[in-house]
Amino acid sequence: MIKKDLFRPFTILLIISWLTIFVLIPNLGVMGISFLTRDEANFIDFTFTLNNYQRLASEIYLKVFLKTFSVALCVTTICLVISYPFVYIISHTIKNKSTKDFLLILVIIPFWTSSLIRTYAMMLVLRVNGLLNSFLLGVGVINEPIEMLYNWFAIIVGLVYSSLPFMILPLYTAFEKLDHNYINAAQDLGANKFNVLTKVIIPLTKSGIAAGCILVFLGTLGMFFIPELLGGSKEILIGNLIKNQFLVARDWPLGTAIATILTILVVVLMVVYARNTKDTNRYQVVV
Amino acid sequence: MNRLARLYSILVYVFLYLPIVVLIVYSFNASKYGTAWQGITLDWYKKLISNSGLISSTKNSFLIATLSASIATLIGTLSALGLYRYKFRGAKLFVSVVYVLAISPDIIMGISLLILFNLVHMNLGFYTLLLAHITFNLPFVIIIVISRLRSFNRNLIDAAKDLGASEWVVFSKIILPLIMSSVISAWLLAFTLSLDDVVISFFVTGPNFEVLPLTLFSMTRLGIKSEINALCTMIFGVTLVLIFVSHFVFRRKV
Amino acid sequence: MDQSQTSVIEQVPIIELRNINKSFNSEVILNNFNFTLDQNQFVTILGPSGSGKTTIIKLIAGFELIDEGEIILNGVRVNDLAPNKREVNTVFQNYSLFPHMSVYENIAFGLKMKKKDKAYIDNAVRDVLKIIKMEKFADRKPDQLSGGQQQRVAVARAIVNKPLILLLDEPLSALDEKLRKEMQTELKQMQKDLGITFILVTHDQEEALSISDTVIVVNNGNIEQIGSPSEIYENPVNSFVAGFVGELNVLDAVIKSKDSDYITLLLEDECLYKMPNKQNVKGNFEEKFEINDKVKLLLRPENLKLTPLRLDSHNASEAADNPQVLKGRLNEVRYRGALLDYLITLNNNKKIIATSFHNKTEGVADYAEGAEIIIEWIADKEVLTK
Repeated sequence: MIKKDLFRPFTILLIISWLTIFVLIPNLGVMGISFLTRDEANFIDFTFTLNNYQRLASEIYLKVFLKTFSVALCVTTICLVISYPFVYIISHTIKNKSTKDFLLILVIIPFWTSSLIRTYAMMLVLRVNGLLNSFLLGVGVINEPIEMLYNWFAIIVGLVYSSLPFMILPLYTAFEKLDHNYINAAQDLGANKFNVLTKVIIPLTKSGIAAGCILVFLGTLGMFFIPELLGGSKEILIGNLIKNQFLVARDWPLGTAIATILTILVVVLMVVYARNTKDTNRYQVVV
Repeated sequence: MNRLARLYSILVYVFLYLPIVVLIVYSFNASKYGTAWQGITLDWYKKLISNSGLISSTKNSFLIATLSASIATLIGTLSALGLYRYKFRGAKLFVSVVYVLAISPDIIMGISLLILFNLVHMNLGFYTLLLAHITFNLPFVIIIVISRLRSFNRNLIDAAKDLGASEWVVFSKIILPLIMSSVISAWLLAFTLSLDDVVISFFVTGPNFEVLPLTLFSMTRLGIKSEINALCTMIFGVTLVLIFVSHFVFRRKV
Repeated sequence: MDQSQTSVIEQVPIIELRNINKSFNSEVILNNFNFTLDQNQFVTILGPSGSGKTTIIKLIAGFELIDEGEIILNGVRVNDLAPNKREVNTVFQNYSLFPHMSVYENIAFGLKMKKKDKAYIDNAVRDVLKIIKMEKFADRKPDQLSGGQQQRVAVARAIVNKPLILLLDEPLSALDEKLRKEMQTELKQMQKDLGITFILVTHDQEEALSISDTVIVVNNGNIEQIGSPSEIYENPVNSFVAGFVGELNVLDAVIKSKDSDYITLLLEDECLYKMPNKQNVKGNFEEKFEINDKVKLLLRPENLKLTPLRLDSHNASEAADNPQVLKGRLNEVRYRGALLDYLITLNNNKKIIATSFHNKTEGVADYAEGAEIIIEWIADKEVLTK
């Protein structure tokens, strides 16, 4: 009896205290500091100011925001375009369950591997004397090695490479949940393959598409080491910006201001996503 | 399956694996900067093993990973159970927050924790790193265990109670064994995430406590070297082992 | 006009299944399956689970391909035709209404696929909504409908396309008793009004008997019997059909003598029963019976006539002498509302059931439990089989 009575307040207390100490307070701290000024010696001077946000509204920073969103959008789109047919093929055309499982594990292995390692591996492939160039030279498509590393091309490829499993897994879950009878019903009513895809499969896998897009988009927004490694520290995205403020420029208030904007964006996206999906399906994304 | 479809899916797999395969292959390349192929060697692996800095980084990483995974799994499982059993105000909000945390960019968590530690004047080092890792692992543990609990057949609990089981028995003899595979899976995921984490560790660790991903990161910034290839290959090997263990323990759904 | 010269319009059978063989993973599902159906019929395929009945309609619809044989739809061979090209529509067991489309859009789907113009679609959909009495539900989504309503929409979605055949895969199994009976009547009426052939698959024999024009009884991938409901019920060709389609008493017997007019059986070691030899009549007697053959006499519970053996009445001695009746003891009377079941144990411990209407105007038969009973049956209602 006693055990039961203690367990309930204990867990609730546990949950609330963890949430407060490690989530609420730090994030309030972030938001709070964004309204303070920078101090040479102690990082922050407790003087209220809107200066940080004003500075962010200037052209230079707006450009960075815009660049980052464009990159994130681009990466998300490419991932979706690559993944959707892939998942359709695996889920739809392969009947054997254990083959499917095996193929899925093959996708999961990269998902569990450190993205740092995978990014580094991509460097090996893209560099001037790397695999891709050697192959293209060997086949005769080009006469001189192309600069494929340390530019936007590399950054996008690297981000897509790192994010692909995050698009594939939610899509796969959505596809597996799709009742095959709907496809039969559509065929029974005269739909050809194209119609079945556009009128039945895509609408009914919408939740997977949305989940995948959010995961990839948000994941890309915060990236800093991938652009740094693959872009050669030349291109600045939001992630690099924040990192620089904290470790190089020591301008914490500015850094937290950027982070706050990012957080608000994340929350807004999540709210929009939640409002538009039915409760039961919403969170059954990956697990 | 039609030929075009087969070709396409193979291409995707090639894209996913080619860089990794290249990495593994080049880790045996005798050329120092991994340029032209100069024969097979284990030199880089030998160098790694004798690099004491790397060894201590590795030990540190494993220590943090084990501790943070275990603590996070403990707290996370308890939290998930609490959320499942008890309806309290804000439970829904809590779950939403957990999901937001899980998908938020790591960098936000990194700097927010940095600020926290600064606020309480804590020195950056082992303890801050540990706390940070527990914090970012918790949402994943909670999500995995709660998903399993939600798909739980309540009839089993009712049947047990009908046969006279007390709350404690229901928990220990029915719920726990059935969620055990999810708990283990959550532990493995937390362990892996902790081993691989770069961004959060970047912000909250101090100069006295090096962890592997950060060592690797600073190495990679200096350019491509064959020792890095060997190191990456080894880490990848460990991950593979973890995945296979996870799959066979957790065979229901991967 | 000369009546005797009324020309008969040659009617092509709406569907023919010829020598169909179908296996899954080397397990034979359908074995040399054959049937032909005429137009404008309500047909039921009746059989237990695993009998292959669902496979048959999947083959007709095109969701499964036959291994061997031919399917001919309205004179056209359709073996290799994809489901979306066959002029056949299906009502699925779980309805499979598109969850992301409204009732209107679900029903309009097939017509859209056929590229009919907007006006046509609107008219057709509205018409069919009237038939199923759901005009007000046009904009609802499937998850806002009850089971019965979903079922109606599923039927509407299929018939609006005016298919040659409507296939129904156990469409009523998820509904409760009362709703099921209502839907059965509605489906029957719909079939009459539309003139489309309906092929309904079910394991519910009552359903099959009450609404079909033709019943096809299947078991283990074979057709056991095809006939009208009364043929199937009253003249089953074997004990499987007899037992599946209704309650049955199976009496063991041995043939003692036979001539061109009569066969004499020793029933349950007790009674010598002489019955007309119907060997020349089609139906029951496809098997040849010889003397000393062990056979079975099948009797429906409602065809049994019971009389209590009152030792003091005049029938006692009659009964004792009459070898044409069975004697037993009444174990239990079961009340079933409009019916009464009498559970009887024969002298050799075999258990049988008799059923009669619980008809208050005639007075309840005064049968006490434990009473001795004389059992007779209506001549001509028995079925003899091996």
